[in-house]
Order: sequence, then structure tokens, then C-alpha cells
Amino acid sequence: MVDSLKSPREKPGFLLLGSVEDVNSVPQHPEFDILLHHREKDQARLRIIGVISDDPAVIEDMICRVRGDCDLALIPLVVFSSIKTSSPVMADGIYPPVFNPQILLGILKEWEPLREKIDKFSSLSENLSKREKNRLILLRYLILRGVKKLEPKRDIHSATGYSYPFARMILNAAPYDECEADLKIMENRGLMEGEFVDTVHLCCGCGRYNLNFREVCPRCRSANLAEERNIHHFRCGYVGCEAEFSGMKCPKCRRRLKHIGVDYELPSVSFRCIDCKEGFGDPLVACLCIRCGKDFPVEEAVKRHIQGYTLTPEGKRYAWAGREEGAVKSESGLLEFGVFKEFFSVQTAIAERTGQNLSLILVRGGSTGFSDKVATTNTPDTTHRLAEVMRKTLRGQDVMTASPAGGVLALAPETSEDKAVDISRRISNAFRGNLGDTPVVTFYEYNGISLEEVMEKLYAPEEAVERVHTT
Amino acid sequence: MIETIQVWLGGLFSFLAHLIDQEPLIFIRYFWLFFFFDLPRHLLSGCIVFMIEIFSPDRQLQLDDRREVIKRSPLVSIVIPAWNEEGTISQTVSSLEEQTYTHNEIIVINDGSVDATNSICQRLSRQGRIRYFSLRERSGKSAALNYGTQFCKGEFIVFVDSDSFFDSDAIGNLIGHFNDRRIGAVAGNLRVANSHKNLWTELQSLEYLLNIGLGRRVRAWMRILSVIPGAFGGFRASLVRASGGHDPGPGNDSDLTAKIRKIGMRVVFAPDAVCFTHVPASFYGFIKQRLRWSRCLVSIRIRKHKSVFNPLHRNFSSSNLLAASEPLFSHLILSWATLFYIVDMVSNFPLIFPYILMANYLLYLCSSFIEALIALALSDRKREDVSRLIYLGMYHPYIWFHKMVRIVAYIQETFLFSSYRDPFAPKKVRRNMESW
Repeated sequence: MVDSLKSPREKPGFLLLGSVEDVNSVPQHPEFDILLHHREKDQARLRIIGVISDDPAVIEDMICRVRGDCDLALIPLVVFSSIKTSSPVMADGIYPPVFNPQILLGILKEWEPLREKIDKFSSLSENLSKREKNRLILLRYLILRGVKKLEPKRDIHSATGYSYPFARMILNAAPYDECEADLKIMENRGLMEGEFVDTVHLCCGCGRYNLNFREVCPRCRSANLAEERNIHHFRCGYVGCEAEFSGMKCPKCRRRLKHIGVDYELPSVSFRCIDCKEGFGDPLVACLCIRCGKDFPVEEAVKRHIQGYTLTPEGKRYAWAGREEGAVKSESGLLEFGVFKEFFSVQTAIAERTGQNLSLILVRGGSTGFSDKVATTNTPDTTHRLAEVMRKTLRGQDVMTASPAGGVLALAPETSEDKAVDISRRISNAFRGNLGDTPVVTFYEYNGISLEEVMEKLYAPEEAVERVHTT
Repeated sequence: MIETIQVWLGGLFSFLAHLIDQEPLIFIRYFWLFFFFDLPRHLLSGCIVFMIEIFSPDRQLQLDDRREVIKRSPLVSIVIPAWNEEGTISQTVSSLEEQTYTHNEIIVINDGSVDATNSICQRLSRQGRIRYFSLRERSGKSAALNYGTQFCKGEFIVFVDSDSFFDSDAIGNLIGHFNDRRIGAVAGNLRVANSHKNLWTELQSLEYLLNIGLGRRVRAWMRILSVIPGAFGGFRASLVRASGGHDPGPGNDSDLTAKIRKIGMRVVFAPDAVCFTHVPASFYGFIKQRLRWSRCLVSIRIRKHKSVFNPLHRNFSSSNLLAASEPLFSHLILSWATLFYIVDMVSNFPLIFPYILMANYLLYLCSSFIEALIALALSDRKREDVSRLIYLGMYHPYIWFHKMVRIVAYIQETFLFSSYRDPFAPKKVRRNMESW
């Protein structure tokens, strides 16, 4: 999230989404600006979002888009609609489509406290992957909206029959299982606590809940069964199916059965397969998946617990801080840049006192097509991939961080220029065939300047001590 | 103590020496029970069977005939009623799965068990090892067996107990006897599974070896076998259904056997079809079991099937008459005769009664020793059975005690109809059972 401090000279922004006529019909106000598009530079002053429509499908679609955007997900969202309905999911309020400037100002002021709370959250780290950002946004949403428990709702479109509607919106998870996976990840990390809601049985083939449970013959698996009640005649001990006792006469002793519990009892029910004529006491229960057609015993059905989720204290801490307590590493295992800076200070102090060498190595996208494959070298996914390969090449005492300017920066203690050359070549060779491209590896042997100055040199192609190319 | 024994032994030897000088009639007068009842019943018949078994010219032919049945491989339905048998049902099923005769189906009926029998059997059923049926409440062994019979698909039905274990060739050896179309039912050979538990079980094990095992051979040879044991017996499925299956109450096994015999079918014994079953290990358990068995003699054989004694009855046959009469003689009459003998000796020879008793003990010991040798010769587990001979010294006092228990049972059943209050069948069934 962008720095939340806004210039006192900027007017608050009211972002309106809807048809062109609707939006254009809203008058301006001296105390706030009507924004028609979301731009990054307006992020700080964007205080509220309004959706104008009378079509529930349009409203839902717009809400989905807003809540699925990390930058907009937490911002108060209101709906202006003349349809009389309860507040749509994920909308903070619903108002009649009256665009009196004073009314709009009142709405803006009404939701300002919530907006200010959002500003108190720390900014999102650039090292976070998109999915991790979405997860963090979800946690913040739960805190801001006071949602105590994320309850699953029955959903016929979901594979499990349950879904978490607004979690899906915020997690931007089109597939249902990704949303559940994200919630599970947060549970495993102690950020959320799961509570049992229901158990579902899923097809062992396609993983969906659309199962038809039915009783089948254990011999031929036919579902064409007849259920028979059995009669036990006490006097002669005969036990047979009800059909044999025609006219309530015992087929063995020919006596008439008069009183149940006195002359006779119904001790059991048995089954007979109409197809193969097999008799049995308990039918097998088999599942037929309506979706993929797989027929299997009920024991093979995949049992899944559906849970509701509540935020844990650790989850709240994580939501506010933007990183887990005590975490010095990012999602991809790299040191946080702040921690790296501290480490750099310590190592440089040791190097100055002991006279040992210290080198820094930067690996980032090259000019021969690597950058063509990714938009920038600063995306977390690329950083993660760079870090994976480098970790295998570097030594145990070498540490890495995601450079804010792009690429992965490594600190190699006790490393002279010669050794740094060797390491750099090994890194280049490691990348060859790994990422299928040619990253740029530059290194610098520390000579007493600050980290920022080192980084300037590493990034400045003309001033790098040496550049290693790979062909 | 030693002096007392010396005095008694001295007296015994004097008595025996005195007998030697007497006429044979005196000898018989003193020991008429042994000479007129036990000697022909046990020893002579045992010797005859031994000769027949060993020297039978058709032995190999009979074995070949039995193999023909096994080659044909008819389906055999094995029915196991189970009431609170969580400790043994799995083993029984496993034992049956190990049979060399593999063309069988195992049907377990849960008779309203309140322990883990149901869950164990459901697991076995899910594994495809048994066909499982359950009665919601306990309905009694007969109802459970009849319920299982309804679902049998086999040509033959074998009824077993849920605490029995079998030699791997037991079913095959049992079924082999159905080569003869005149045979309607085959009795398995019961041995005691828990024989080493205590003295009671050892003595019962010896009894199963001598009285029951050897005795069944004798009766089967004479074609007067009257009981197919409920613990292990095979029947033609059509006959079971035609006879109406098991009637409720104790003695259902002898009752079904009597019905099979009345249809005109033969009943034989398969000494090589071995089943191990549990016997009561406590004194009270033993008494309860033997009282129940003995009451059945009166309720089933005398009262219910009294038509076998009527020569004018349409079902009358001489072999059925003999089959029904034999247990009356060997159990009912012999037990009363034993009591009468004791009274006779005490009242007519009070001074030498202890020596008569001791001499009887020696006579019976010699007789049972010879009987044991015969049983050993015919046994396929000689080493195991030899070890039982050390209990021969206590065997006949045990048998005489058993006879007294039988007398109590006969009185109870004759005057009090006690079998109708036996918890073998649940109350709801007992209330409605036909009384004979």
C-alpha cells in the first residue's frame, strides 16, 4: 500500500463507479473531488468508493473488482441504488441514488473514521507475493469490518459445496480451492484459527461434492434392491421374510400369528438384490459422482472438514505490522532489507576491525532477453526464482536480500575480489540452463563506503568494478 | 495316614483274596453294575469298533468315495450363530477360511449381542470374508440358526459354534461322507480346546475322547447315532428346510437329528473331521451344562419324539427305536442303576461296602485303561492323548458324579419341566415354546 500520508492541500477523493451518465450526473463539491478513475497518485486522497447501479449483477461485479484490488479492497465502499434490497455482500452501505453534494459530503464524513483506520496499517512490503498481499488484505478487512468469524456458506458452484464469499473476493481467487488453500495456509501459520463447521464427502476422482450415496448389492453392485422384513415365530422358532407368512400364518407350523411381541417379533430387516437374487443383511453403500460418473465405495470418498475461521492474536499482529512477529525473512526466504542493512553494518565493522575482505554481489535481469520474459526484475516471483538458484551457489555464511531497486543482493563475508569473481562466475553458470536466460551479475569489494553508495555503484553499469557476462 | 492306607489296602487285598475263593456268581453279585452295564456298553463295543476300523476291507473304497464328493465341489454353507462372542468369533472365521475345502460360504448371525460382536462381524463382512446378518434382540440359538438357513445357498449346511476351531481338513472330511445319498447328516469329532485350563477341563477332555469320541464311533457303526452336535455337524440343506429347521429350546441339536432320522435318512460320524470347542471350566458351568443336556433326554427324546417308541406309528423304524433307546439305556437307566447299585451294596453288604467300592474302582480303572488304549489306537493325535491318561485315576469318580447330576436333571425335568425355564432360549421364546 502506498504511503498513507496525504498532502493537506489535496482534497479527499470520492471514486464513483457506474455508467457514464450516472457518474457524470454527480455534481462536484468544493470539499471533495469526484474521481472517475483510480490512479496510483490519487491513492492517498481516495477516501471512499461509490458504486452507482440499479442492476444487482453490475453492482456485484463492480464490488468484486474493487475488493479484489489490493489497493482498493479495504477502502469503504457504498452502493447507490434505488432497488430495495439488503446491503450487498462486501458493500459497507447502501444509499438511494440521490447525489446532493451535501449528502455525498455527509457520506464521506460518515465513513472517514474507517478510512483513517486503514491509514494506520503499515505499508505492504514489496517482497510480498501477490497472493500473500491478498491474504494480508483479508486479515485487515476482518479487523476493520469487525468480522469475528469467517463463516463458510453453502455454494452449489464450489467443489466442496461451501465457499467463503467475501474471502474469495478479497483473495481474488477465482478457483474455489485457491481460496480454501489460502485460508489453510493462514491457519497453518497461526494467523487464523479454524473451527469445525461441517464434514463433506468428495469424489475421489474429481474432488467434487456431487455424490449420490446409494445402497448396492455386495455381489453385483446393483442398486435394485428389495428390503424385506423378517418375522420370528416364537413357538416353532421359524424365521423368514414377511412374504412367507401369507395371511399371517407360519409356513412351518401353520399357526396364525396374532400379537407382535407375544407370538412373534420383527427381529431384523434383510435385503435381496432383484438382479442377482443375492440375500444379505447390510447393503454396501456406494457413491456415484454425478459429475464425473465415478462409482466407488463410500470408504474411498475423500472426507474434508469445512471450517470457519477466526483471527488469532498473531494474525492481528501480522495484519497491523505487515509481517509476522520475529520474522526476519520474507516469503521467499530472503532477509528483510532492513535486517540486511543491520547485518551489513555488523559485517563491515568486523571487516574493518579484523582487516578481512567483504564483497557484495548483485544479480538482476540482463539485457539479452531475461527482462523480456518478465515485466521487471523487481517482481516477487522473479526475485524468488533468483534467490532459489543463488542459494544453491552461495555459502552458508552469505546472506541475501531483495534489493529495493530490483534483483537480489548478496553479502559475502571474508570474500576478496578474486573470490567474488569466482562466486559471480559460478552464479552465472548456475543460471545458465536454470532460468534459460542471462542475468547480469555485478560485484563490489567493500572499501568503507555506505551500503547505499555500494548499491549505486552496483546499479551503475559504467561504474561497476567488473561486469560478468554470460553467453 | 500311612497306617490307615496300609489298613485299607490290607483289607482290600483280603477281600479280593476272599473273592477268588468264591463262586463266580458271588463275584457277579458284588459287581453286577460293571458286568451287566458298563462292560458291554464300553469295553466290548469299543473292542468291536476297533476291530472293524482297523481291519475293514472297504476302508480305502470309502476314502475314494469321499474324495469323489470333494472333487465335485458342491457349495457348503457354514452357519455360525453368535451371541456375545467378541473374544472368539474372529478366530472361528479365520479357522474356517483356512479350510482345504474352499468352496464354501461363511454366514454369521449375530443374535442380539451387546458386546463388540456386531462391529467385529461388520468389519469381517466389509472385508468380504463372511455374509453377515444381525438380529436386533436376542432371539435364541434356534432362531439364529433358522435365520441363517434362510440365506444358505449351499447344497450342504454345516452348523458350528462361534467358539470352535477346526482342523484344516475338517469341512472336507465332513462333506466327504455325503457320498452316500442315504446319509442325511454327519457328526463332526469334537475335542476340547481349553483342556489344559484346570482339572475339570482335563477330565472333560478325557470324557470327550472316550465316552463321546469312541462312543459315537460305536453308535455310528451300529447306525444308532442320535445326536449331531451343534458345535459341528453337517446336513443336507434340503433336509434341514424340509424338517423345519431347529425348534426352539435346549436340545435343538438332538431334536433336529431325530427329525432327520424320522425322514428316513442315515446319520453318520466323521472321526477325521476334527473340531475343537470350549468346555465349561468352572464347576458351576459344568453342572449347568450337564443338567441341560440331561433334561433334553426327557424333554426331547422321551416326550417330544415318543412316536419312535410306537411300533404302530407311520414313522416307526427299528433303527430309530434303537437310536432313541440307546441313550435311555446308557444315560437314564444306567444312572439310576448306579444309584440303585450303591443303595444295594450299602444295604446288603454294609461291612464290606468300602472294599466293594475300592474293587469297583480297580475294575473300572482297568476297563477305562483298555478303552483308552483303543481310543489311542484310533486317535490321530496320539502324543497329545497319551498325556491325558494320567487323569484316568480320577475318571470314573468323575463319571459317577456325572451320573448323579443326570439323576437330578431327570427328576427336575420329569416333575418340574425345568427345561422350559432354561435361559438357553430367551424368555419371550420360552413363554411360547410348545410343551411336550
